[in-house]
Amino acid sequence: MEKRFYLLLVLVLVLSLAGCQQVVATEAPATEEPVIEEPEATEEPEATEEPEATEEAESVSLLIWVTGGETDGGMVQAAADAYTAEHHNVTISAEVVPWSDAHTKVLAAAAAGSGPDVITGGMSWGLELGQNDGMIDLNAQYPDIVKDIQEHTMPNIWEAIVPATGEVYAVQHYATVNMMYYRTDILEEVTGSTDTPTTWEEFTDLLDQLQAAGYDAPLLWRWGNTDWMGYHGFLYQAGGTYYSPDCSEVTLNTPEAAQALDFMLELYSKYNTPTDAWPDQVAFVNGDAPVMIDGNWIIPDFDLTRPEIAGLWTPANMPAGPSGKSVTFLGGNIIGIMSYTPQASQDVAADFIHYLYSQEGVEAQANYIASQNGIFIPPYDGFVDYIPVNDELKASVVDILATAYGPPSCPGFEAGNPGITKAIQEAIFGEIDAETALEKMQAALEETLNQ
Amino acid sequence: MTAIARGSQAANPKVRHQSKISKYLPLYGMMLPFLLLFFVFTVWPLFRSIQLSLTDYTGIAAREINFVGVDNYRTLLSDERFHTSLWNIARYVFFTVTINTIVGIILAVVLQAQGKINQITRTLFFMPAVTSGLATTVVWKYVFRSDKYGLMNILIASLGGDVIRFLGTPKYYMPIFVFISIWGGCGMTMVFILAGLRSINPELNEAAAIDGADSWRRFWTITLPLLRPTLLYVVVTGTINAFQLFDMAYIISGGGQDSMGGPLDAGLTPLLYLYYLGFTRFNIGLASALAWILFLVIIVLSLILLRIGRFTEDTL
Repeated sequence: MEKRFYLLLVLVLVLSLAGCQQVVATEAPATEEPVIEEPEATEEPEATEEPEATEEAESVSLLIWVTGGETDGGMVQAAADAYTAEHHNVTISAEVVPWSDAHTKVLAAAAAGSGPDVITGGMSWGLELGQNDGMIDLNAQYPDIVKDIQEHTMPNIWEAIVPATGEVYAVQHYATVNMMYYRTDILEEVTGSTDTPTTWEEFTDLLDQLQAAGYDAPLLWRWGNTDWMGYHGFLYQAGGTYYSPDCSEVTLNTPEAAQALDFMLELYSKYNTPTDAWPDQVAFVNGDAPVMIDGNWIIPDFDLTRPEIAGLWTPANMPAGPSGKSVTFLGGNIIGIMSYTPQASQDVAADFIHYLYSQEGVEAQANYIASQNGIFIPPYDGFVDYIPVNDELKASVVDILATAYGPPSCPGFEAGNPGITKAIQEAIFGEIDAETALEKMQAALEETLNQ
Repeated sequence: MTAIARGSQAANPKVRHQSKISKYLPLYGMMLPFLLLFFVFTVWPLFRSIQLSLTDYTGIAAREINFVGVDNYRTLLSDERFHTSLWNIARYVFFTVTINTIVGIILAVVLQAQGKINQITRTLFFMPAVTSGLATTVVWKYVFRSDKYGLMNILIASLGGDVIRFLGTPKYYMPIFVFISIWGGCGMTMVFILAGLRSINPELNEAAAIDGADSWRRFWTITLPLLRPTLLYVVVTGTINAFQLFDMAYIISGGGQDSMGGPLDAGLTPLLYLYYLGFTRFNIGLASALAWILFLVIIVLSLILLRIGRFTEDTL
């Protein structure tokens, strides 16, 4: 009797484990590589119509994780649809991954060696993943494609994503920049003009006038507030840099860098700029803070989401510093290929990335973004003609692309920039003076450069 | 014959052993699926994390893993941000556990009678414990927002005060964390202590009252000493939970890679730093080492608390 019971027990266990195995076997591919299996079914009709083509070109499906919102996903899918219309053996699926989850999900995919074939993400992700063998070096595998892409990328953008050693783990998909926003109605009321400041002096003059008119904290800073990204623009505007051109030396403890830091600190000490990370826009909308610093991505929807101030605000470039340059922080999305992607898919992915740098690819994305009331900022000013916006906006985009600088691609910058942020914050909160802060910033980058 | 056979079977240790096996085998068999999952998802990752803490594992499958010895532990012990996170959590644990326990005792003593109003009040205090911590933290973030539209600032303005930049000022981070934790945790502590209070024989209090002891004296000499096992449980579990603060710190400080931990790392906790190292800096080896240091700190602290609990029990 007992023997029968044990046999039954073992049988139940074996069956339940087999059941688990089956669940894994049937579910895993559906989540991990859903598109690899699908195309055979969808490509079959094509195969009957174009037998020669299918004999030559193997069916390939690409899964792209697009970091951002639905608009970002739609933009990539629009380009993918245009691409697959010309490449019948290829299917491309763009899945949106929100910024908040994307980094962790990409890392999980890299750890598992399974997931998307292509990812888009933050400017530093290509270097981070690539230097850890998580993304392929496009330059090593597709030098011709990379050469062409480089020719269609602004040099200042290229510098931000390609390290001095020359590996190209990712290329720029689109650009985002930090911009100034002004409440024109309040500017007119206080200064009698809607002209926006173009230099540091004009900028601080405006803030003084606004304070005198009762705006105690006239500036609302969102993207880059109290951190290295905020300092970044001022550093270049003052004529400073983080490193020497060959990345061999840290150059933060210089008069230019000090001037930039003093200017930044004054915004908090004299003009009472809020120190919260990403404060709410409501102070700008309600007119408590008539000046705002934020990313360019708010432009398309701002009139729709904030109808109460429609037509009462204007975007503008950052003011020019002592160097005469109005440099702004350049961000945006990069695009690259994961290292575990099969070779055939890598080849198609590289071709698709190259396609994004063609007139058709840019037009497909720019038109989609325009249909969503947005402006596509391509990585190259030669593409501006393909963006369906008026000449004035085109000129603005060209201006921005010429003056924006991304984070330096010198080794150790990613690991060192929390040290810059900490020193800046210590100075803002009065724990150390500007001089000590600069020394700490210099030391933070030197430490990681030497590592 | 049968009795003799049974007697000889019981006397034979081998047979007795076999009989035990046959008695418990079905039970272990039934536990097997759970044990398998427990091993795969708990025991194995636990030991794997020890192994990873001694490597430079980045979390990327293609990357070669190198043994680095105790370098990760050494790096962390000299890491200023890790020190800051430990200092932050030490203050948080101390204030949260102390205040939470005191508030829990007060609530339990005041609301222990079985009246209708007490039942409703107890339910109100317990409600945050059954609400999603993430959801309530998001709401609290809006309460403490720094501009004049935050609920707390509206309240302060109505009393004639100036706007306080709660989330833009380092010194407010820990008090806010402690406040939210006590708001969310005192109801649960109250329930534990209520259960402890109900387990005390009422005759002891009655006898003391007849002997002339006032309510304050009865509380100090009878109720509190007899509540010690409950209080020990509340303090030890509270300490362990408080050390693992993550979600609140993540949400309140913004959660972005560059803003994680708030201004001057005022809201940086060890688990938040672990997340930062592991999932934004691709340094799983260092993050694993941090997890083990935190584990050791919690174990040592729990043992000290248990020892103190036993010591006070022996001395009373």
